[in-house]
Amino acid sequence: MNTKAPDFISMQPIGDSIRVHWQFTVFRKKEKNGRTSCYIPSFDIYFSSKENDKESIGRKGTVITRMFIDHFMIQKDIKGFTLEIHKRGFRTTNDAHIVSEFIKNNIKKAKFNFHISDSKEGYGDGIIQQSEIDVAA
Amino acid sequence: MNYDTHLFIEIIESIEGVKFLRSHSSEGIHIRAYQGLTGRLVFIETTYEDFTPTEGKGYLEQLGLSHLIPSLFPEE
Repeated sequence: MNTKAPDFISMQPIGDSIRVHWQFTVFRKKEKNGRTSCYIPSFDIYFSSKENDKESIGRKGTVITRMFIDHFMIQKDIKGFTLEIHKRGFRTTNDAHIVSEFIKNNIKKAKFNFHISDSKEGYGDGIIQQSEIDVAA
Repeated sequence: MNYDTHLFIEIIESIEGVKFLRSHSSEGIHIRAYQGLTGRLVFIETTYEDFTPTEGKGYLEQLGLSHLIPSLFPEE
C-alpha cells in the first residue's frame, strides 16, 4: 500500500441536524488462514473479514466508520469529533478558523480532506467507499 | 495460528492506563472503543472469536503496548 487516500469527511447543518458525509479507503491483506485483514488509514481502524470480496469489505468498513462517527455524535460531542479527525490528519480550507468555530459548536458547511500519505507493507489495492448520515445537532 | 479475542481483551483490560470507553454493535459487527496509554482512541473489533495477527499487532501499537508484540505474537 503506498497511496494517498482521497478520503474526506464533510459536515453540513440541515435544520436541526448535521449531515455527515464521508469517504474512506480500506486496504486489505489476505492472511495464511484465509481471513482478510483490513486497515483504513484515514480513520486508523483495523478489522478483519471472513469474506475477501470488495462489496463485503466495503460494507463492513462503512458500518465501522459510521460507528466511529456515532461514537462522538450520540453524545453530541462535535468538539471531540472535530478534534479527533483533526488529530488523524483531516484538514479543511482555512482550517484553524473552521476548527475553532466547530469546537464552539458553530457548525458551518465544511469538507475535511485527509492529508496524510500512509504506506504499509503487504496490503493490496484500496477499496473506496462513501456514506452519509444525519445526526442530531 | 488463531488468536483468541476474549483472551486478548482480558489482557489489554488488565493493563493499568488502558481505558474502556464504549461498545458499539451494528449489523452483526461488534466494536469495543478504548483509550490507549497515549490517549489515542482505538477501535477493537470483537465480532469473531478469533482475530488475525495483523489486527492484533495493530491494536497493540495503537494502544501504546508495542512491547507486548514479541510475547503475544512470537510466530509472526
